[in-house]
Amino acid sequence: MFSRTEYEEVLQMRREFEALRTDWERIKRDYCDRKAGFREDQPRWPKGSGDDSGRWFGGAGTGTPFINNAPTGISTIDRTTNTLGKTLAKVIDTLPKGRGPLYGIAVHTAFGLAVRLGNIPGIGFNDVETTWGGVDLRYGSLGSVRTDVILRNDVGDPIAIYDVKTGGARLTDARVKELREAVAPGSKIPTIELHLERGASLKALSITARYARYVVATLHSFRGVR
Amino acid sequence: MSMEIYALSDKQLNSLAEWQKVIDAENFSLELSVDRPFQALRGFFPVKVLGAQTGFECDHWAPRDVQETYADVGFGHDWRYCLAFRWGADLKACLGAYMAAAAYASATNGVVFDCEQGTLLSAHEAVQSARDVEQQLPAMEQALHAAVKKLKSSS
Repeated sequence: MFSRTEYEEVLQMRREFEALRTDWERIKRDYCDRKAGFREDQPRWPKGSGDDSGRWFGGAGTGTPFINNAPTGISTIDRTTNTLGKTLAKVIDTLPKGRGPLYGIAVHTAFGLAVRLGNIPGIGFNDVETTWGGVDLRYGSLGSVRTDVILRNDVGDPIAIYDVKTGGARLTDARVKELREAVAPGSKIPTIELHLERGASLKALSITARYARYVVATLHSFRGVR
Repeated sequence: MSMEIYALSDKQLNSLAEWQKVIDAENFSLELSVDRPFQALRGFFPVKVLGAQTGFECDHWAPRDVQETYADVGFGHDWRYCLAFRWGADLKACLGAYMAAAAYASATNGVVFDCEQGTLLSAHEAVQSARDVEQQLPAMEQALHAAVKKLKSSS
């Protein structure tokens, strides 16, 4: 028989052993997660992202993800936003990584081409980089403004404006107003910013900071407010 | 058009001819269309860059719109005037806009806000930035050509 003191010692040893086993399990799990590329801060595709919903994004070997934060409740527009966002993400994967003004132009050029070649319903060849206003409607007309992409309804009226931004650039309220006045004066046509976001993402326990890139759609001024 | 930079200043130039003089003094290969008053600048502005006809949108803009949108950027103080430069998928238009904005900031003792980079450039830095863009232009033209070819073949 154990004495009371011996019994307490055995209990204490058992507790320590359990604690060691828990630590070991945690270390083993962390190791396996790291090996599998798991990252605690790695986001998942949000609900409503179709087949991608719930999947991790931004990991090694995956394409640039797209998040649609611009639902309008109008199925034609929302479907087109998804198509354009995914097109932009695909285009970004085609280009070498970069930043700065010339990189931005490369993104715009390649995106414009991909949209034109994409045969997207409601977006014709001339709905990419369209000139509005000015002294006449030809390319680069004096005083004109240009939109990146226009979506039209069945009768040809513009129903959404898309603008691509890269890096820290944002669509300002005054610019949204100017575009809407040029495209559909007096209307509250949805204006959607497709933004290539960049952010440093530190892979767990790795000392190398990696760039995470993703495309986000943001709706501007649908009801007159941002 | 979608890419943009802003020139912020507390004073304005009187004419496009005056602006052109500063551009020439910086040895920029940029020729403005000087056929209208400076105050009438609005929308697409035809220019010649490296001898080629191109252009960018150039507008008198509300400095407050820029400073409020980019509230996290330290603008120093509330600037009185702002010129917005915008362009699309045109490398030479981009170069022209950088040159024009840098020269304008230089002449008015202003700054250039590069929103893509999120940086506020002094006139001197903006001039250097324009020269960097000019230097990178041929390589970027090549990279772009290759990317377009790849996209065309994959679609």
